[in-house]
Amino acid sequence: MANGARDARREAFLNRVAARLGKPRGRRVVRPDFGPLPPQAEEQLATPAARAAAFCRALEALQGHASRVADPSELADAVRAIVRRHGVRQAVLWDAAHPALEQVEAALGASGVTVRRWPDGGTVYAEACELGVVVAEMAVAQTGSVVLPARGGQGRSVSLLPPVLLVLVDEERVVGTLTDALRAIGQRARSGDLPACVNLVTGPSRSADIEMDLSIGVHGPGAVYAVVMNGSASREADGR
Amino acid sequence: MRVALFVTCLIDAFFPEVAKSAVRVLRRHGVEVDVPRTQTCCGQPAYNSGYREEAREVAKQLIRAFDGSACVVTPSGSCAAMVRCEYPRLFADDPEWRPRAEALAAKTYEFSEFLVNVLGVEDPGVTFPARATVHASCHMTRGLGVKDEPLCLLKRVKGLELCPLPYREDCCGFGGTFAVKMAGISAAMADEKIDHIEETEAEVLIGSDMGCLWHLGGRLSRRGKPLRVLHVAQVLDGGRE
Amino acid sequence: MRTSAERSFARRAQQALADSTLRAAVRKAQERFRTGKRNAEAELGHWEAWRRLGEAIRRHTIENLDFYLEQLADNVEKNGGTVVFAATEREAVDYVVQVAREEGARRVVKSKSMVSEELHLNRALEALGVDVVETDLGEYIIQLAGEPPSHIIAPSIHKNRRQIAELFSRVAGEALPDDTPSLTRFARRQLRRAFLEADIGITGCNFAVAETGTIVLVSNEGNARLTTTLPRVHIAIMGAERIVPTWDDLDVMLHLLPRSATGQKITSYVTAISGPRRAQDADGPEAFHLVIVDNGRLDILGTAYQDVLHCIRCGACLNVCPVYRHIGGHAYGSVYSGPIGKVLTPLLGGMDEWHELPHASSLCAACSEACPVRIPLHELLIEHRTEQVTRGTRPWAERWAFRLYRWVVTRPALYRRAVRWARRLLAPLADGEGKVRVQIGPLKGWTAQRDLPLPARQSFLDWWEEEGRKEAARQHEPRTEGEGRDGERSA
Repeated sequence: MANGARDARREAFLNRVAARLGKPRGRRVVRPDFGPLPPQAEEQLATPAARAAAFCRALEALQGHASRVADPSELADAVRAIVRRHGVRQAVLWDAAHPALEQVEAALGASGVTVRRWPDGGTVYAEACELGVVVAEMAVAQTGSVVLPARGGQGRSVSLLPPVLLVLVDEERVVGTLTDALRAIGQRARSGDLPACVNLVTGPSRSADIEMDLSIGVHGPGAVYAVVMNGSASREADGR
Repeated sequence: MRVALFVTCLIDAFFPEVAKSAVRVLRRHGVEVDVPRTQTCCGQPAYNSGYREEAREVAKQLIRAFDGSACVVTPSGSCAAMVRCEYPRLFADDPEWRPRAEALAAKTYEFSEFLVNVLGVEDPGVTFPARATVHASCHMTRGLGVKDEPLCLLKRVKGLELCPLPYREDCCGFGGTFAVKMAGISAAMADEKIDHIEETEAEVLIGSDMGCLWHLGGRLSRRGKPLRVLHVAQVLDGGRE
Repeated sequence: MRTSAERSFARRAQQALADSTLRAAVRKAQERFRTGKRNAEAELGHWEAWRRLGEAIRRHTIENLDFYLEQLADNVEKNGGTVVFAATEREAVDYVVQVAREEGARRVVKSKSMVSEELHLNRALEALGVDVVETDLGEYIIQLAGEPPSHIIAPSIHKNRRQIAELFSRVAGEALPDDTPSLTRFARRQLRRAFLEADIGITGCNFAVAETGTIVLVSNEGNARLTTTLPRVHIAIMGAERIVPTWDDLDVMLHLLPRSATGQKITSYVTAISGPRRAQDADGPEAFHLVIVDNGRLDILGTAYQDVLHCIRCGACLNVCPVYRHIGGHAYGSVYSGPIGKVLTPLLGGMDEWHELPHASSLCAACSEACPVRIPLHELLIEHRTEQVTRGTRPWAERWAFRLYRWVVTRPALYRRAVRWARRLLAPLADGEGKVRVQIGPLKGWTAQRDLPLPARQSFLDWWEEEGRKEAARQHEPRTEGEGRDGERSA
């Protein structure tokens, strides 16, 4: 459709909305203060360790798998366990500079798994992988969710196409509530730092469309692992 | 204390024993009862069917009938909800009638609500040995917000064993003209309610709205089920019918 | 005089009532959903406060819809997307078809979208020779069956596993077992292929955040993510009212929607799309189109029904509705079923065609109580009924019945006489037990399903006049110790 026609339709549409509402077009609307949110229990999770523990519990309650590691060797153990359990032969990792990703890459390589960084190999490769590995920008204690913004080589496909997903979570990045996470995203979005796609992923893909019977992994990953790295593990991984 | 009884048309015509019991129970708790002679119907059938003008005229009749009363009590959750929730709305644009409608709304109470919240009755002082379950009618629970009052009273009736009714607050399918216009769906809803009642193995069904009980009683009778159906007022009157 | 739509609603309802498989399935789903919702409300706490907040946000948004739509459109375009406003079904469909043609699309994957059902979009794309695949498991099932959805969030709840296995076996060309894991695996394989081959992905939109031009999709299976990741073009279609001003408002909605819909704290996926992929991104669609649809919605603005535009499509009202429980979604005959359907359908589709829907309710108000944004659904049903009366479209007999009712009950003496006459008229029709069972004339609506007791021999008001006064007088007489406790003998 030509831009002119589209603009005309837009104007007609918006004029009609304003007319029906009995209000002048182009007025300035200030969003009122709707008052504070009702109190939430999770707000009391004061320390990162308490939030990390709550995050793990919430994810486990949704048939996800969560573990906490204190150092790179424990992280490598966790990776090896996933490889064994799911017979992983190929994996695709986010292309990001996080040191834990390198730890995972090394551990996978040592287990004989073929590893590529997204988008190397493209959709065809990712589709053939058993495992995708990403790093959470935030995790939410209240819900067991992880926040995955898509940026450059940190693609959407990595957390979506393979049947097993491993999410690396820095303990400091676990926030208390969904509200905390959305406020942080909103703030960055308003300052212009909004990726084309942000996903909140909470546990495995699920469906109840067949007789209300829960089935896991209908489209997205059926197995979701989160490994929470506590302060010392991230520092060590950082080489600090 | 003196109250005016709003009998409701359904009880007046079909179930006068309910109102008689209500009068006896109120008197037993030291209340003098008036029954204004010019009362008829609250107008709910017209209002719910969309006949707002008819509902307004009928409502005016009821407002006039109770003009001289300080406090109005009715043994019907549904009619109480009509007066309290809908009358002010019905006359929202009528400067003459709106205050009168609001005044009636403010002084009208459902029967068990009045006993518990106004009179402060804790022990109804009555015996009625039976195994019973209680139906919560929609307009009373969701419209008026009166949920626990009948149970508070019934729990203290000596000899009365109360069996919790599964899905207590689900509609029984009466819904006024709905029962007639959508008779098949209405009956399916009644049957589900009856199934739940039977699960409790109760021998008496107690309610606060004769509309629901008229419909459920009629369906029970049609299906040949020998269950006694009583209004809360009748139970508090020792089960007199 | 009955119109064809009326007959067909009655017929569909009757058919549904006779279908015990359907009723068992709907009951089970409803039970699961509403229990889940209740638990989730309790777990969150302060549910009423959340509802009020949700209502306030929705009200403010709809009252300033022109402003927020403009802000949204500007921001989507800033993000590199194309925005189209469509006044009618035709305009919306034409635009999607045009994009499909320009892209030379051969296959389109869709993730569940009620508004696209409303637009009958699949039909138009198929006419163009495009292969359209519904990828939500439930939508896939009913697409294979050639049926419309029967529930807003669980479109295939009316189908049992045996029926689903038959549908899938037909596609597979071999008999598939009917256990859930096998059926799910088959659907995953089949649909993954469709995703990989698709040129265009079409989604709905749960919420559009005006301040950043972001489309938010709330889902559990992951098909909405695949739909917005693999095809090179993404078209999102939204009803004009599906908008929130800010991310803070989105937060409130995300507290309300999943809990009200399925009893989840949050769904497996919440996907926030802000335009097409950026230049440096390694995946995601190259083009993003947002189609904002009126299709009758704007006519609701400024009317008594405006609150219905606050709806967030959680389906909670369906999950508590006793009428829905007994007849399921298809009996309504409309895209939107249950209480929200009864209010919305006559507004979008015209009262002439859908005039019977507002009457398919006992006004029990379970829907209004369940609504997470406090839409007074049962009051809006009464509003519809009132409008029908005002327009004079109700049946002649009903109009006269209420005229007569008014005439009688506004005249107390006449009312008293009428009550006395009622028994005399009905008595000859009663059987030995004093029950009226004959199904004739205006009695039929009642007696077809229930017995009617005869009116009492003496109405209460008559009794009061005769006995009550005497009794009252007795009460004022001085009592002696020997007298009964309440000194009553009558009745």
